Amino acid sequence: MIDLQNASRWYGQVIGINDVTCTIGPGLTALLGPNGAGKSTMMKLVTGQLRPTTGKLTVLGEMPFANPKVFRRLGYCPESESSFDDMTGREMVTMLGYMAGIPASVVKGRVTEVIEHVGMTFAADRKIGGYSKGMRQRIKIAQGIIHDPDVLLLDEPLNGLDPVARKEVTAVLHGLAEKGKCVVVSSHILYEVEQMTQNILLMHRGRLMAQGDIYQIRSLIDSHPHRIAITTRDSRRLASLLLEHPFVLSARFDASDDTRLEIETRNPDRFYALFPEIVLEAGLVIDRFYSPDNNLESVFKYLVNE
Amino acid sequence: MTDLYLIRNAIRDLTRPKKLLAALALIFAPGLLVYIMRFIKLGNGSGHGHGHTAFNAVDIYSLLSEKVVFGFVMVILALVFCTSVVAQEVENRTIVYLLTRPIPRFRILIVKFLPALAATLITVWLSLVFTAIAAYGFSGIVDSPLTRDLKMAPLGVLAYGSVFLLLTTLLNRPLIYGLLYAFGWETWVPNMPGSFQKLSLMAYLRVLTPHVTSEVQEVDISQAFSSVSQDNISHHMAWVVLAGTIVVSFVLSLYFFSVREYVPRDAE
Amino acid sequence: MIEPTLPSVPVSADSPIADLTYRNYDGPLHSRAVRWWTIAVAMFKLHTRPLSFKIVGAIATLPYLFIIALLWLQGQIASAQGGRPSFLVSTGLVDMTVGQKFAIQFYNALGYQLLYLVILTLIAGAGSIASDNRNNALLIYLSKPITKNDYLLGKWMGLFLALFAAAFTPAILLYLYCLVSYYSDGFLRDEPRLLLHVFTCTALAAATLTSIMIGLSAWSKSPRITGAILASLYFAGQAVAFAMWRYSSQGDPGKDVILAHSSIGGAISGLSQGIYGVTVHTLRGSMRRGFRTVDYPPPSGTIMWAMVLGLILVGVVAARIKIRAVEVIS
Repeated sequence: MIDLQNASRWYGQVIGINDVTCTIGPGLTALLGPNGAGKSTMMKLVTGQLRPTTGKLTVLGEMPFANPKVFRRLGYCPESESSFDDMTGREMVTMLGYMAGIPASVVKGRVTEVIEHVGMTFAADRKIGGYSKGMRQRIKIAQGIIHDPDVLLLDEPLNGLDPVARKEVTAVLHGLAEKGKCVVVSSHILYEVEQMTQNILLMHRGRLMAQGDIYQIRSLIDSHPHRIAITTRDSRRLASLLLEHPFVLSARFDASDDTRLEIETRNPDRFYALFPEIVLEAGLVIDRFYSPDNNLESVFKYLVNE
Repeated sequence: MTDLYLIRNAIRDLTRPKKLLAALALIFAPGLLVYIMRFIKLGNGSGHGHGHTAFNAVDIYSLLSEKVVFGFVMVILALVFCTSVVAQEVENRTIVYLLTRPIPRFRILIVKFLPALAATLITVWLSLVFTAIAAYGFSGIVDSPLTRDLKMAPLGVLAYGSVFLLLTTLLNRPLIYGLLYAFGWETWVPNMPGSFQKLSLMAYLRVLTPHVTSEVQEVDISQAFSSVSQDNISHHMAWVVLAGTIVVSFVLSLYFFSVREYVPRDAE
Repeated sequence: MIEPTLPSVPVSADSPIADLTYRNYDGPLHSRAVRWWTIAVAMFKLHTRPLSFKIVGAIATLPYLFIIALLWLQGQIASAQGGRPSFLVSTGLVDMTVGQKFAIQFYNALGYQLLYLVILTLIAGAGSIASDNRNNALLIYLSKPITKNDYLLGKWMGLFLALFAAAFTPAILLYLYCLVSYYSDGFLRDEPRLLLHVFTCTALAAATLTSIMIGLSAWSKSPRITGAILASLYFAGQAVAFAMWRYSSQGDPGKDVILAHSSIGGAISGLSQGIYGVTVHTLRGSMRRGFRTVDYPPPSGTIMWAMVLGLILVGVVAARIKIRAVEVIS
């Protein structure tokens, strides 16, 4: 649905995005990256606010810049808090609903529906100038989904939302993704994204570092072996048994806790397959077993800091 | 329907209390000035050094309609309203909402431009009417040049409005450049000798709305020499140039708004 | 884990370890005078950074440069004719009155420069407080150990310095040119206080525009609208004052002088004329009736001072009333 081919965008001498090639299909995709990575530039290119300096970018098969056909099926929730402060939430969503092409006979009902969907019924008739940050976010999401777009882009949508609201908004986005929509969420808050989706686009300094499932990407990062933490009373015996195998690279003991052992391995699948056998044969009791770096934060850290 | 809704919203924005107050001030101020000037005239008494014995409606209407209504009210309103068509949306960071809707960009520009023009024109008309009433009284309006001014005002509003619309589609700070043009360039150029005045919109508008007074005006010698050596602008030329300016500026505005990128600077 | 400690001995210039003692600074904080000055310097740099300010600032020097060129040309013509250089008034047709040979040039230049100073005020000052209102930056300013007066003084001074630099720099160039070229013709002897007058007039022009702009900016959240309001007040005031004077005096420059100067630009111009002590001579009339010599005397100094100081005071007071960290939204 969104296709970039060697797309680059410069602002004078500053590179926004640099030779990015990727395809984003239906489902919920997180666009990740530290500040200045190029996430906002990518969003602006996809939403037709900017043109790529080089390369090609299409949304739903067409170039999005100033293209009403694309915007009929695209929704955008910008990051900026600024809005139509003198209007009420309902008025703003109605106006933008009209502009999205919703007929007059339908728009009122649709506005009420989306406002209820984002949990803003109680404040819809108050002026946006008096809204809190979270309320502004919700109204922005409402205007983005009012015309039931096939592609929805949200720039930092969870900013300013309380935990309950975050869950609600995440549920809305999941609902849309399950309907086959292409939902792209830009964020730099990793634990939030991890709870939302496993499908990521990781950007750093304008370049696309990785795209796909978090765990698949993690398994491919060879330069950082997987770490697995095990707590057992007989940690030294376990360590000696594990080190006999070639796919176990190292074993480290925690100086403050004799029972804690950390293993490094380049082949986690093999390790997980053989570990129960080894433990059962030796008659060991395992108190705790987990991987501290098989998560998004580690992927982010390893790729961005390289 | 979308267009009507947008126009309705634009009119609502233009008729907010603060803006209405400013508009009312501009509508009534020239008329109030007429009464103040009457009072000054009465205070000066008769047998004046220059032979004036009575309040002269022709002079006062000519002076105020040319210098205040056309020279200031029309220009400043066209500048503020027409530049805000794009500049206000960029400043408020709401332009992204407009540009990501399935509406051709040129239509968005037209729909926002029309109410701005209408607001400017209505204010100028009302200002002219009240100035004429104050100067001539209700019965004397028929003999005044008010009808001609009312007919020509749309031309002036369109001319300046389309030029300022072009500025706002091209430049980041259209108000500054518009002010330099409207009160710098337009003040000096019409008074320069030769063909320089042909570079000023106001010079053409003055040809179509001449405001002559009943007495000979005194000017500085430099102005006198420059007016003698100025090329005369014919009525026909004035019409052609003003109409051409409107068409060219408007078409270019639509073009540039359709192809340029309008992205507010990020807060960070 | 052992925390790294700072070196206990002062680090020498040759040491590879940088001097990190600033991290544990526990000394006295700066006095209040520095706090508003910090804001002023930051604002000055901010105001003078945009290219538009530099371009319009360059244009604002043109009146003075034009007069330098005119004086030079006159000198060349007079030298070619073998006579002493004569000094012309703005029309170029009448000899200047003894005692105001050079002051008139500075007065005229300031008059032509005033429009560009207004544009510079719009460019630099429209967002000075309005942007802070919009972005809630006042919360940040006033959460520091500064008072509202520090904030206001800093903002005012930053804009004033930018405008004063733009107004005074070309004036000083003209002064230096005259000093070098006409010293033997009595430049310093005839007008010993001219430099002080130049300084005062340019400073008052900058201060007046600064105060009005700061006052308007404090009441607004939109720099664009603030600029539009200042432009309206300035140009409408001029148009109205001119129209009223024109009608009242029938073009006689000796009549209703105060009315002619009843605008922002008029007040600055009138006060400058009084400070410079110049009487402008020109020919006025019409092709039909002929021309006569007309003097434009300076208006009443007391009234002009009252008007200018009044504008400055109103601007500053208006700004002070409005500055607050929190705004209650009704």
